[in-house]
Amino acid sequence: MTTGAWICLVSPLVSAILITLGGTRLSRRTAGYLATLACFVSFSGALASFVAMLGRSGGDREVVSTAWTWLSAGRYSSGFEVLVDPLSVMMMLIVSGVGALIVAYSIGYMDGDPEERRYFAYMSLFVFSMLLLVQGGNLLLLLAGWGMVGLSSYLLIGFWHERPNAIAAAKKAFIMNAIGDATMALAFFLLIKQSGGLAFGVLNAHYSSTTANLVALGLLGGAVAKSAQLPLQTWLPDAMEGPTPVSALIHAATMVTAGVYLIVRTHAIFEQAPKIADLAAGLGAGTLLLAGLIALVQVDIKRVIAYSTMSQIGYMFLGAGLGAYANGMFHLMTHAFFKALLFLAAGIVIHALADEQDIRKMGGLRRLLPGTYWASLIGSLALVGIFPFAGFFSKDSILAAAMAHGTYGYILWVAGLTGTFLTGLYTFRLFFIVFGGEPSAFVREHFHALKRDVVGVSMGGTVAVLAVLSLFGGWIQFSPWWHPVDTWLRTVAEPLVTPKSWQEWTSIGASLLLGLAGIYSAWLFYGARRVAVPRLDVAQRILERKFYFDELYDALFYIPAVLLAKGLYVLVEQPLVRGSVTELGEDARDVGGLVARLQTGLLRTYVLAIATSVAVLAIIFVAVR
Amino acid sequence: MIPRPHIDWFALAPVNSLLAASALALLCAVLVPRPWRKPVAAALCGVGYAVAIGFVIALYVRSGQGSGVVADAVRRDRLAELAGIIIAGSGLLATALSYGERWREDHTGEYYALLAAAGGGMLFFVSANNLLTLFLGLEWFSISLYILCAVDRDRLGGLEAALKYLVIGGFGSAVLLFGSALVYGATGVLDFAGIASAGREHDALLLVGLAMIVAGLGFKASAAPFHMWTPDVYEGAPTPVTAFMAAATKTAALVVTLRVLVTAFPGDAHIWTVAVAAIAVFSLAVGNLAALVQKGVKRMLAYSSISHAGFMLIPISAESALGGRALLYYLVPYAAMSIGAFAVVAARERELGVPVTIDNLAGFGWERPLLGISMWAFMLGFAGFPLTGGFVGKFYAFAAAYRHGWTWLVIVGVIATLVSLYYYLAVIRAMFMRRTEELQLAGGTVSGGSPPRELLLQSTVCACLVVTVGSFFAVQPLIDLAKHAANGLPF
Amino acid sequence: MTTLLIVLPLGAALLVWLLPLNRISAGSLALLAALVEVGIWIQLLVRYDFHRGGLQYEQQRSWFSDLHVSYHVGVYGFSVWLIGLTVVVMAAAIAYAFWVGREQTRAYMGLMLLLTGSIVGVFAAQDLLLFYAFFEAMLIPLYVLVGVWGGPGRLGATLKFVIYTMAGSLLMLAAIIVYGLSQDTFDLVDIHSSSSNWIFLGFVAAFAIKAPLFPLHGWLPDAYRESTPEVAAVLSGVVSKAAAYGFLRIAVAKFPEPAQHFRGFILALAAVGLVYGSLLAFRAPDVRGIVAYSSLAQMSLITMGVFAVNDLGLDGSVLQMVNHGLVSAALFLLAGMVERRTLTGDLTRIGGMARGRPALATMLMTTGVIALAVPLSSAFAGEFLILAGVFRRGWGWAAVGAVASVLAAMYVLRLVSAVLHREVGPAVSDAALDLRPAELGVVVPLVACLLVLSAWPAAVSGHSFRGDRPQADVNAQFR
Repeated sequence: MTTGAWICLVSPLVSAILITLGGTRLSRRTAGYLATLACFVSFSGALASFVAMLGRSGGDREVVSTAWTWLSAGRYSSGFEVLVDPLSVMMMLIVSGVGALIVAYSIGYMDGDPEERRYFAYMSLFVFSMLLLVQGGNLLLLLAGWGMVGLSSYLLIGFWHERPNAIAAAKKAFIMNAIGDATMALAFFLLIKQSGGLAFGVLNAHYSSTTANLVALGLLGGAVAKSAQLPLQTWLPDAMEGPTPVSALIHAATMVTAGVYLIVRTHAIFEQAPKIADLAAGLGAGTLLLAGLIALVQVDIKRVIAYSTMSQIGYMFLGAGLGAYANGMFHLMTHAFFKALLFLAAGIVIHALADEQDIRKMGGLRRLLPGTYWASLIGSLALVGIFPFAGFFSKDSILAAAMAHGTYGYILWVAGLTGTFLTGLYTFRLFFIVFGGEPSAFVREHFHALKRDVVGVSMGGTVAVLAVLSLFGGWIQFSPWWHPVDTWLRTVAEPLVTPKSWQEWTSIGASLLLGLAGIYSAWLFYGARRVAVPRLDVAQRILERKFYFDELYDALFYIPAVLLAKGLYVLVEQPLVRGSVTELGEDARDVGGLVARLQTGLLRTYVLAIATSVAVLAIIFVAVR
Repeated sequence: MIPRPHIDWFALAPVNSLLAASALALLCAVLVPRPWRKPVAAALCGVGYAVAIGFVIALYVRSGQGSGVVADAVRRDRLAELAGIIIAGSGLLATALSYGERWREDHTGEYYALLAAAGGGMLFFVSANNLLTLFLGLEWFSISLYILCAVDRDRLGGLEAALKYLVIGGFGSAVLLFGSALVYGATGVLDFAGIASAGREHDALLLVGLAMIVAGLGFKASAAPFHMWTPDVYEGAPTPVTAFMAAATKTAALVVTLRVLVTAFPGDAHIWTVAVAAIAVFSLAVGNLAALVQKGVKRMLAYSSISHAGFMLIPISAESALGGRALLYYLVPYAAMSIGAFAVVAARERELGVPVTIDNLAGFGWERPLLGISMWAFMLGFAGFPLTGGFVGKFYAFAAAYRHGWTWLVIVGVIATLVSLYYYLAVIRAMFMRRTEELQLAGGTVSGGSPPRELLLQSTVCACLVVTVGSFFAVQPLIDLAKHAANGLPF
Repeated sequence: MTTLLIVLPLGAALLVWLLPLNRISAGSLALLAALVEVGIWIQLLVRYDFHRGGLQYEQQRSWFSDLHVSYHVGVYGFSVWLIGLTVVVMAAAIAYAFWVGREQTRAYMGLMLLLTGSIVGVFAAQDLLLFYAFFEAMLIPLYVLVGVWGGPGRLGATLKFVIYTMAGSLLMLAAIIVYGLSQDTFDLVDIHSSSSNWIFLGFVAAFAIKAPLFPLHGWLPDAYRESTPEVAAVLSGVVSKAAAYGFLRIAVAKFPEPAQHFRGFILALAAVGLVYGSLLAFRAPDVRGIVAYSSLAQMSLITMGVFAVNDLGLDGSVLQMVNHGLVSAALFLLAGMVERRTLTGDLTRIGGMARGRPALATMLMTTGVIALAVPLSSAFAGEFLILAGVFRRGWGWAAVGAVASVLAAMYVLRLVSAVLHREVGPAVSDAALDLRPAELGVVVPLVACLLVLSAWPAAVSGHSFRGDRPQADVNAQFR
């Protein structure tokens, strides 16, 4: 069981190192194959430990395997260890599986890029880091993986490093995540102070409410930063500057959902701090509405999907915050499938249109890219949560859980439903604009079909697989009747809420209706164009400016920091710190000049001076005797 | 019929050997043909010093506990002999240094004769045991030095310096003599032990005398405020003479100060310790501050010697065996550093034919690595850096002050050291961090042509270097020597 | 063995100076000596008994007995690591100097070796006066190295550097005299702890200037900018650690009460310096400026760890000393390599160097991300321990540290992308090559050490002090 886990963890790292050291000795294609192979190896490792775990009873499904003591000081120590339990195995399967598919897709997508090797090295590094995050056997290693995914995300967002935008976006993402890391670190310091260690076990200990709240708050800070939830959500849209497969893997399927994993993993502390847990759910709800609204007006195909990601993660936070851990994780899984599918399909579109991402120039791709058309249709329906697609099964159970959580829960429930409507609206706005209608002038000019070579196969094939997953992936759990995921995760995290069946059915019905309503209105506006899109300039502008969060943060933090730095340099560094000594030296020299001037060179002064000093000396001697 | 006292010729041997050398050198100034004059005279002087060193060492070994000889007029003890070693050593080095001086050949005989005589005078001075011999020795070497300063008549300002030295020196000697007279008047005895046991402490007459003696000795040690003559004389005198004065005169004056104050005036220690400390602080302030703005290297070194008078008065003011050790240890590297530094200056001087300034040292270090590195060591030694004896010397001096309970004096010394860094490092900076090309000289003396190779001068510098650095590693033996020497004094 | 570590470079220095060698042979002799030094250190590392801990490989000979001063050397667990840092960085620096081919090679190499010996001496000395002697001896070669081979502003820089440092050192000398004489021994092991604030402050002044701590860093920017890259690497990588070592070995260990009494004050200075340095690094106009001010920040962080005076803080600070030593050395050397290609460190005139220069890009990026303490890097481990330790003294300090870690991300990324990314800068010609094998040979070992440490930071943090000690008395470490 642990062997599989170790294989799963190490093989991507190996490929990253090999590609880096291999350098130009590897052909670009080889690098791609190597990375893909590594990911599949690690997926099989995950499978192995999954199978091994099935063979065990619920009690001993949790194993920690320590390789060596990674960090120790005095009585504190943390090992380099992996934790294999149902939760981590589930994440391992998702990460390595989806990762393998997307890396395979990249072979086609990145084909011809001069720096392909670097790309695949980074990708492998990312998969390793993500696996470290989910497998890490103690909080410190979790934080390590947490930071490493941030790093690889930085590297991959800024992959095309000649583009200033890309670099800026990468920095933004990294620094926002650094803030999250910092708050998490502070939480860990508090834990160390209170309990002396960072093993997951310490979370189960009982803490004073203040401690619990502070720790939970710190963890939540990390979670919202990584998962682009309020208030640290602004980096995700910019992150779309990276290559599309990167967006699919990191900024849709795996990394951004790590926040949910974190909450589930550390649920014990959140259960001791219910206020913070509610806060998490609330933030999720807020984000899903905010993102849904902004997504309505975006014109960049990838940014639209990015906002939908934000809102879907909002659902997961909602679920996890309310204690419906299994549902949150389940949604995380299905979301990984259909969101990856959507991104990769979008990737094909972008690829086919000479890297154009502006949907206003697109249209009528239905006939030109039939396969992609169907794939995106499946993905969109799954995203909106229409029966029988994946999203249907996972999203509705979260809403049901919300209903079962009292008044606050009902508020969230309403928010969630509104979100469903918005989802339907913006998703199919995108769908109709891109695929519906007649091919636009731009499309007719630039379109070139995929070739049926490696490129085509790697891209088309992956999309097909993901389409299938999005179609049937949801069926493994239908909460009213069968729920293996719940039972699977029960040993790790006991759910706090168990919705009654009427709540289940109400939310299912409501969300289905609202989703369809959203699709219908999208069809009215953008599909059949029966109704003109209502124009509300103010709202339009606010949404296009993303509620002015960027401007706000610049004004609040970045600009003050720069001003402070400049001010310190001009007011403190130059005059006081660096000037002082030189001035002292000057003064000493001036005094010296005075003293030297006493040296007149005239005998009479000398004699006079000596005589007087002798006299003074004598007088003092007699005086003090 | 006055009873003829028993005379311990062995005790007087060093002095006599130098006197003999001096006399012979004078003779050869008349008898030896001109071309041979210089080598012969120099050789005689050198031999005299060498023999003197031999005798002094023998005396050091053979006089375990001090004793008064020649009717108690002369003290034969290890203090005198250790000082004698330093002085004679400096004399020998100064002789070697003088040989390369380029001045008119007509007075070389007299020059070496006087050099030997001065040394003899100092040896006699440090072994003085009563006020009379003290004054005798003082005048003896002072007068020789007055003339030595003037010996190079072509030298710019040489005569002026000599004249100043003569007048001021005369004044200083007068102060000392008057002081001695007053002390004699107060106590009725001349020898130091007698003065101590006369039981006339706190007597106004005695105290005024003490003040004047301190002043007179401080004058020879060129401690502020009696330092006025030092910069002009050091600058004007021929460089070898300056080197000799800086090393030997200061040694003699300081050792005698220690001896007189401790043996003759223990009763008034509470007064003179403070006075000496004050003089030390004053010298440190004046020397270091004034040195900051000097352009000429010799003048700068003159001020540095003033500040070192201050440093070496600190242990005297401590009035303890530790203080004695500190002073006697410090004198060894100090003498070496002074002679070495002036030797390097002399080398540059002969190379350029103009007075050496900080500026025209530029690039010197790279042209003549041996001299450069040695000068580097000497400067660091003056500044009290580790790897040179200067560090240990300062450490001991401060330690003595602290043991005496004067932490404030330690702080003052530390600050003075910090200030002194500025001008010592300026020399290194000029020698190594400026390019030769920056040097602007009429005729471009430096460019082209190999600088004069002088074996004697270079070996002198090497010897000084060895002592300077060696005294850092071989502290224990030197301290033992110093300890035995200081134990002769009644602390 | 300890003595050998000290004497070998000094002897080699003398050889290089005295033998009439040409540039190549002098350089290779020096490099050989440096590598042998590394070998000896590895021996020491292998033979040192970390379980027993405490002072090992001791040697003592009386220097001058009447004041009880002796030549007493030996190594503790943490000294082993610091000596290792020294020899590795010095070897890299010497190798780089050799490759660049400094003029007056013999003098240069000799001075570098002399420097090596004296720094090792500082970390090994167990006698106050000996410690001081080595501490000052470091200054002698540095003064010349910066002043002769430095940039255009070198004269001012050296003067400032020396005056600053000596001001502190002389105060320390006074403190040493008072301390040693009042206890009647100068032996660091035997001497009893003292409770005198003044002596404590004397020592702290010296170390605070050398480290440096805010606001005593006036010498730092010029010295780091004007000196040659390898000397800057040694200055910030190793020499500054002597100060941190002094805090650890003397200020905290020998003055428990004063250390406690002034803890708030020093932690405050360190906290200010941490943020201040990070901010100034963030606005610095050139590559070296960024590294220089970041080094100010890092030293403040290390000081924080030391003055947390608990096992987390102390172990963390030792670990961080090693990390920062390697990181800043590598960064300064890389900066030098970049400047060799662009003839400027001005961030506005360089850029886009990653394209076509994979080795440079990889090295700079790797060092950079370690420098900003990305989790799983050794720097992260050190910073984490330090802040966790200082957190116990008050959450505020750790909070400041957390803010600074974000700032660190900001300035390091600024540095990396200004050099490697965006469009190619005017000063970068296409002729500017990727790192040559020799340059890789200099940098790769440093980065490799960092990666190894990242895989196993406990190697240092867990092997610096004797294990499972009572948290309260750190002094027990030094008995």
